[in-house]
Amino acid sequence: MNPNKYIPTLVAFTLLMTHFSMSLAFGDEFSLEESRLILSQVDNLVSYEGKDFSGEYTITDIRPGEGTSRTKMTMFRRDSVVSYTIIIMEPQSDKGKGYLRQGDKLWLYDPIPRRFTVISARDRFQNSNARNTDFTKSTLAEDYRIVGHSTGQLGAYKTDIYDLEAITDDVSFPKMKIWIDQDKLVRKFEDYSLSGRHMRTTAIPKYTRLQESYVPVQIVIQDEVRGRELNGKFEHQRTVISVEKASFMDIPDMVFTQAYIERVSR
Amino acid sequence: MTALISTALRNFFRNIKRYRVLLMALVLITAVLTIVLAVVLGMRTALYEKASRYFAGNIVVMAYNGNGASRIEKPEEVLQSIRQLDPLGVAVRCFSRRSTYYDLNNIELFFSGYYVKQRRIVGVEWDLESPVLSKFDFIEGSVPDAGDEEAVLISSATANQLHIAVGDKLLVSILSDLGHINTADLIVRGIFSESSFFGYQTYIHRYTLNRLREAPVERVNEMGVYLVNPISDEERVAELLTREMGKFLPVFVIMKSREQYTAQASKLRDEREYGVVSISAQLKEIEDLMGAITLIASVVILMFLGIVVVGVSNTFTMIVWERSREVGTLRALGMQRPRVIFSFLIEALFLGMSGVSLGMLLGIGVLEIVRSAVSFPPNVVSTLFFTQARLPWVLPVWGVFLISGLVAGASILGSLQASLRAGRLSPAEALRRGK
Repeated sequence: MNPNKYIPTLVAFTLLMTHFSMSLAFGDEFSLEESRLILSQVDNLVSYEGKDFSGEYTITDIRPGEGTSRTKMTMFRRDSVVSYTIIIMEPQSDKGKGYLRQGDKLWLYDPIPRRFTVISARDRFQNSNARNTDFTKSTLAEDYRIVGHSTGQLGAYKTDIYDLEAITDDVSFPKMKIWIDQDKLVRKFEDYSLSGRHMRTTAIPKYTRLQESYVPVQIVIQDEVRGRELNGKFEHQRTVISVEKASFMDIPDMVFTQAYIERVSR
Repeated sequence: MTALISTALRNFFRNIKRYRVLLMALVLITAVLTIVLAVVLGMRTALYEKASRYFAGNIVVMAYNGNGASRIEKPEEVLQSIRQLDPLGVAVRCFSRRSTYYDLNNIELFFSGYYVKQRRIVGVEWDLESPVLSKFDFIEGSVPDAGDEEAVLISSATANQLHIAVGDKLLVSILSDLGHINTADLIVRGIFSESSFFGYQTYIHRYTLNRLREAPVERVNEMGVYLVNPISDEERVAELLTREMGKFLPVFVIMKSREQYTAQASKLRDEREYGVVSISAQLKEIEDLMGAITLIASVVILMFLGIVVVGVSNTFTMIVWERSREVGTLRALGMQRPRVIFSFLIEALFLGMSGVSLGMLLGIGVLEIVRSAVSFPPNVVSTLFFTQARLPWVLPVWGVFLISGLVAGASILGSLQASLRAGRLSPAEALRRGK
């Protein structure tokens, strides 16, 4: 092994980190490489490459003045091939519906006509404030670049606050603001429209550590444009997602197929 | 001839008591005819007005290259072609230059926490289409000023769902052409009542819509021509405009049905080609419905006219019988048979024309009273066929002539047999019968 061959890489990395530190210190703009470096650290903690993930999700949709609905579902996720399978367990009216994602393709299975329909990843999930993209692995580093940075206190957490701008057209929101704690975990993010309108806020108060990764076990999504004024106070529509029985146990390949969804939906 | 007419006129007034019942029947028939024809034409005109506003004009120019979406890349050439219509004798009301956005899932309007989805949002130039947009059934507000890029016009159904009023700030959200969620805060300048048939579309400035779409601000998707006489001119103008555009641009055949329209939109082409579609092609189903209504109305009218013919025939048979002595005297004094026949026919014509005149006055009076006094509640029929919740009616000159011809014709036809019989009477027989 020749240690000299690593010297150029080490120098490049040191220069990059120095430049990055200077940028943070003096508020310079971030280069694409710097953005990728920071955001990939964030992505890596909540992406489960090389292992399968499963969990039971409860989605509570709170619509002020209209009522609350609850959806229970089982999620199977394989980040290495950007796939997931979701089977709806509750409510009874939606029981048996399934979502299958394979790369860029996403289908919704309806057990009544027994038909798969192609849907958009940007669509709302079960008419809640969550979107279909929210259940796939985190790809901040691929989709966004950092265009601004500050620091701030978010409850008990000291956070770095990054302003992000989309670099691909595959994302729902072209602008974001994220709050990252000292453990590099996203604690909050705000989604903005292209014109800068604040559309959605997501808070992740609880993570659970599983092997070397983190699983967000409570997510609160607040719609900034939907809601009702009740008793003189504006109440936003909210969606609370709780995750239980999170596991990294291997999942058979056939779970990520249409045949599986059809079978379990019977 | 003048003597014959004056004799017939004198006889008509002399026998007016005999004609009274028949005259009343003719007046009523004419009034019904007038009302039916004027309302059917009025509803058709109102429908064309609404449809043309929805589709960008009575004749709309599209340009396709095969991806299904229309984009006018050479609006100046299209405009030049439209301007050629005037010297060709076409009465053009105004023209449109629109950007259109259609999306089943991604057009959302928000106000104060309330939200509603729309299928279509249209970018217009307020000043260009003002003559047409001002005919909206505005519940509140009006057409925005020419350069008002913050303005939005919404339907009353949308306003009710959003609990929004004129002057409030509306948030419009769409998915841009590049796939980004984009929003704009716009001010509601007008709320109009519109039929659900046209899908409650929202109108904003063309530049604003293009900015929301992340498209070049000057982009035009379709251009339209609003005609002064759409029903009669449409077909001719479609041909003229296609011919004029053909001088500058590659054109395809006139789209005469929705099937042709869909086929042309998806047909693959080497370069973008231009074509026109008319409102009647877009409104095939409604045209069929209107055709059915017109057919039923025509059958009813023909039945009425049949009754008129029988009534006039019976009355004239009686009149000729009662006036046999008078006919005999005139014949004895040397009046020829044809003059006797014409004398009765002219009397029947006077009867018919009197019925037409009074009946039209009655019909128009009833229509005008209903139009000005009755405001119909919004429903499927009233929003689609009525104007500003009022019964629309139109009675063109040809309609007046048609009704006059039908009623006077029925009157003459009814009197024909009795008149011929009067003409066949010999003076001796007539004088004997009259004793």
